[in-house]
Amino acid sequence: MRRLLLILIMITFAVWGIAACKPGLLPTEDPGKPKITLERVEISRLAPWVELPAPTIMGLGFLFNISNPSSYPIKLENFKFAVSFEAPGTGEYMTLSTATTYDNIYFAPKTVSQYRVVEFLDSRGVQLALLLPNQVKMKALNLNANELAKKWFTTIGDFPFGINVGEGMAVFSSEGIKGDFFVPFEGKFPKK
Amino acid sequence: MRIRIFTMVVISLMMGLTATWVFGQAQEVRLGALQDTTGGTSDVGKDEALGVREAVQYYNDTGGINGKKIRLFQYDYGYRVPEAVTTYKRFRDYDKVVMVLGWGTGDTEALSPTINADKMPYLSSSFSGHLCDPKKTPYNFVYGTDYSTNARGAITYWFEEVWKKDPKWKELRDKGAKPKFVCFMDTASPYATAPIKAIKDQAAILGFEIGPDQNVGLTALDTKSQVIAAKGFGANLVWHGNTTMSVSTAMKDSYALGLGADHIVNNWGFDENLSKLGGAAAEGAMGLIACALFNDEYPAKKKVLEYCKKLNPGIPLENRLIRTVQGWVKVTLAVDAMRKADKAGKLNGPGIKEAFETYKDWPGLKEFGGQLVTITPTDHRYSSIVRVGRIIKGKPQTVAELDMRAKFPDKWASWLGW
Repeated sequence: MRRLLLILIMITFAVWGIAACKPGLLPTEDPGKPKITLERVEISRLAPWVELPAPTIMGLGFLFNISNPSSYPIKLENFKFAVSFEAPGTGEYMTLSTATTYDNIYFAPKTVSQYRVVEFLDSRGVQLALLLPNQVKMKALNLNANELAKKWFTTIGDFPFGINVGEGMAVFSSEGIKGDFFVPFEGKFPKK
Repeated sequence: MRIRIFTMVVISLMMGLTATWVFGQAQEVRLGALQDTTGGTSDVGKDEALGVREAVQYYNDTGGINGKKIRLFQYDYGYRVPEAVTTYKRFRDYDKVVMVLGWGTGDTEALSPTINADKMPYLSSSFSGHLCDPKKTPYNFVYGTDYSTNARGAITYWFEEVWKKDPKWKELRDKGAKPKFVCFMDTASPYATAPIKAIKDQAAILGFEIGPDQNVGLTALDTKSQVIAAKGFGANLVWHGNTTMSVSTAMKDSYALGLGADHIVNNWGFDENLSKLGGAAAEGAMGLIACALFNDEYPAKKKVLEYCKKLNPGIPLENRLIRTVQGWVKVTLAVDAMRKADKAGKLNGPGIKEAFETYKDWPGLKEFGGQLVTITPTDHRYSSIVRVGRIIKGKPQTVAELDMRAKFPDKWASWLGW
């Protein structure tokens, strides 16, 4: 009788083990449980300006607050956002790059944690971004790509222009508890 | 006895947890994607990258690869070949992907010897004809009619439907003049130069007079000197081999300087933005279309829109392009090949290659406005159908489909790998 009980227990655990192997394939649930906000932007690297087309490097650290109000841990699987700089005096933002990470990090239940993404820009890449995907806006505002890139790279130390985080999307997995979470986010720095 | 029971329970628990971990790992299919969202082709690359991401999520939400979740690693390489090579190595050595979705011609061709040695299936947004001959590039695949076939089709369409019929060219036709043709492209870009040999060959077959190539950079803001040179030659037709932004610049300069020629455009230069940017200068321009335009009516439109809103709600739908749909086409073909390989118990490089090479008039891309797909072990050209679009009243729309294999049956086989 006890042997039978033991076999039943073993079968139960084995079935449980295999049955638990279907994470991520549940229909995507509504986003909204975890919450992401931009805390601040920091300069991680800034090389002295050299005239284009030689590239000048700028590294920006984007510090996010990630809130997990649920009662279970969530695993970050993918985090991406577009980085835009304000063309000074115009109120218009130019999208310069898309930061993407695939770090697997767990966020404990009922906590607010911080997550930093460092994105590198180079002045040549910025110039291309202004000439291609931002060309329409650049023409409408009658802006010069080289001059604008230089202005950003040489004055960013005081953050005199806005930096926008847009098109943000983080994918969290609850590892089978509630499917995946898609959390859109955006933010601006400095916060005016 | 109690100790024995306790021990057995602990062992069972450990077996369960191990099974969870082992099966959990095995139930993930890793897929790499190289994208250009900031570089020389980002005017079209950004939107395609969004489509790829959204399509992967859709397939994950609907069963993945026969129940296995697709784990996508999608990176921007800024159209820099060295960065593409290092990212590929990361995919291969650390991310352990089973397949790569590639982007540009330069990086795809540069990586080709490596991926073929690694037996890594590589489905690229470069439709370079050079990638379609499996004798040379057995692991390279494309998801649109190749550039060379497309270019041959576009110039053939113009010759038959415009040059021979349009009143604009009647006077020259009546004089027995040969149509004069020039190519505008970034001569340093492998993408832009890939189909030039083929289109000039087709121009020669059709009896054109070919003028000097005009070098137009992918980021060109001023093309007046090139337009003046084309005007000096008396061009009746211009091939634009670049992407949308520089094509629109060249069209506007052509319009302003009264070039008077017609325009045909490679597929990455012809989209919804061309008419927006080119305005009147782009009216009547012809170009190549790989699938449905974003706002066309096509069977998959509902889910494409749903996933646009779901994953990227911050991007207005009115800014979306045909490139989003192309991203879906790319992922749909990749997913189907992986599913086939998985069902055959060979979800690896050679297995996925074999799966690709079984397609015979596969209709899976029709719901996105793509073509029936036929890929064989000896020919990786995805289709012989060339879809030609034209900007009419400010909107790009399909005007014709040419089957180049049917039109040139004696030449079709010899065009492989051009």
